[in-house]
Amino acid sequence: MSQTSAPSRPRSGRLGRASAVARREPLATFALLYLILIVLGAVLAPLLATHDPDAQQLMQRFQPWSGEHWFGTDDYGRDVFSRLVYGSRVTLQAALVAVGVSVLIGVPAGLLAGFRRGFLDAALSRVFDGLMSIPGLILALTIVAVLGPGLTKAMTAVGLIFAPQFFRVTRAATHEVMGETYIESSIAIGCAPARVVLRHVLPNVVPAILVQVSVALGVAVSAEASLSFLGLGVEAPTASWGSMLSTAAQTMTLAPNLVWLPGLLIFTVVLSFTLLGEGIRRSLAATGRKAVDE
Amino acid sequence: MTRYALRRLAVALPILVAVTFCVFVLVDLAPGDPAAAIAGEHPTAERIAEIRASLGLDEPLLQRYGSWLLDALQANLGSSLANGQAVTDAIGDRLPATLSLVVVAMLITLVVGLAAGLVAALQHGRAADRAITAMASAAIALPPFWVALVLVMLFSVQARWLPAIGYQPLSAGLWPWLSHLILPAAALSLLPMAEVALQFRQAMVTVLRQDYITNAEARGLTRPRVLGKHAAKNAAVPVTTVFAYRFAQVLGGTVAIESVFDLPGIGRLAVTSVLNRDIPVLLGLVAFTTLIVLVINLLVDISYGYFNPKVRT
Repeated sequence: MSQTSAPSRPRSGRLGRASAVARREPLATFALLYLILIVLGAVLAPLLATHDPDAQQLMQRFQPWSGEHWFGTDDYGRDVFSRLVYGSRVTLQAALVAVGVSVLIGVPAGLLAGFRRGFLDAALSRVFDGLMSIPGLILALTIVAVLGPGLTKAMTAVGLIFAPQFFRVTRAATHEVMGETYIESSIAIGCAPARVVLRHVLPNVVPAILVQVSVALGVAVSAEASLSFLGLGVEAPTASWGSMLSTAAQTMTLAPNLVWLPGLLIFTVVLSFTLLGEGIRRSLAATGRKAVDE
Repeated sequence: MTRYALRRLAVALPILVAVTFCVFVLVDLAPGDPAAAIAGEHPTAERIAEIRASLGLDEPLLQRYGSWLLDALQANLGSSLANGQAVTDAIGDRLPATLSLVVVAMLITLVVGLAAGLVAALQHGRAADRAITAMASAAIALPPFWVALVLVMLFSVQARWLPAIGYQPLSAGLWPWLSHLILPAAALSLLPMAEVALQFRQAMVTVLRQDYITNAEARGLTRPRVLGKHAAKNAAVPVTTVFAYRFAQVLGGTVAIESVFDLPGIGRLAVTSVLNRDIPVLLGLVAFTTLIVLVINLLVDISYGYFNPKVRT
């Protein structure tokens, strides 16, 4: 009974549905393909990179673009293309850490607050409101000061800052689902609360969280760049897109072109995550309405 | 109305206490002993204990927080571990640069953001609307400090129109002050500007469809009067929220921007205090910035009550 009452997705024609979504959301599809390309680049970095990203060749500083150094070299004569490829690993891993932390904190708390309501809901909401009223970067700086510098620690702090948004989205979605008849009936037939939350509530709030994950990944990429730029993230000589901008800023008068590539990569990746998130949101809104009508 | 404002205040104050307490505990959990750090190389155990006692570090946590809070209420945030300067003085010295930066950035945000939003709303669905919406959506994805670097490259290094770094106080003259702020403020305002534009466009499009606008036009009111008096006033409410909500973000954004332009502001102070692990300064900054954000939120809540009497209950 409880299994048939939960809305189940049609399982046939996944490919057909995917191509229909792609036609309806060309921008989001393009963004997704671009992100897949970037992730592949990060995974295959050892195969793609033409040089050791940290190998210094002081005789070859600030080389222009060439067949040997596709995107030239930086202030230590390091190959910019190889650093960008390896830097994408660091940047994307950092973004995953931040979003992972915020999902682990925000989603369970949001489920609990939305499911239990009452005092617990009010208390949790106050805590996350308080968290939101500290300027994000100041909070990140405090946590870095306490834990010491290092990218993983800094991105854990960023994850803590994102957590309230995941809490809010999960809580709101849970509230909405709790009003549905199939939740009432599964409580009525005596399902344990944990079972109701995990089997019936969670699957229905996942789409809303997915949208938030995509958007947050974009913001996290940007945050990694800011923190590494300030010298609070990744430590030298490891390349990340942010640390590459940091060195580029110091040698701007000698090699202005070093500023462009890391920034453009950050910009396009952040934009792609945002577009993907909006695309998912719109697609879900479209299919969600249909599911209710059925 | 006064009761409503007082009630909002009653919610804001406990948040300030809770936030500072959590940061206080967090800092206390940190590895490393500030007393040992101050004592320098090869200190004796007695010397460290002496410094611990003088800093009050040997008292229990709650008591230390209590005395910090009491001092803070009398505008005494302790003194820097790095140079002994009073934290309030350190913040006060850095405040003019940050305040100037934020004010100029917010002005640019309002003027450009509202103008772009208005044009987009009036051209709803046409090329200008689509161009503005697309540009604003893209601008939200731009990292501000990178925009700052690009602006420095274009307007300072290549064109030499504006200074690349530094700050001049307003007392040095309007142009020296402003010329050092245009580029950083432009970089800082990009994100809130884009959001204000999108938000104002959306609100204006919705409002302009309402019957009372058609009615006002039918009564023969001039276009500027309809837009200004009837439409914009109602569309301003959601924009106020976005504007205020982004204030915290802009305040945080000053950290990276001040580093790019070497502005002696609060953001630079935060970075140096983190690198030096100068806890009293950091704690003071957290309290100070949280207070500002809470005050802004309070003003927004109160303005809500003013615009929309329904929320006062």
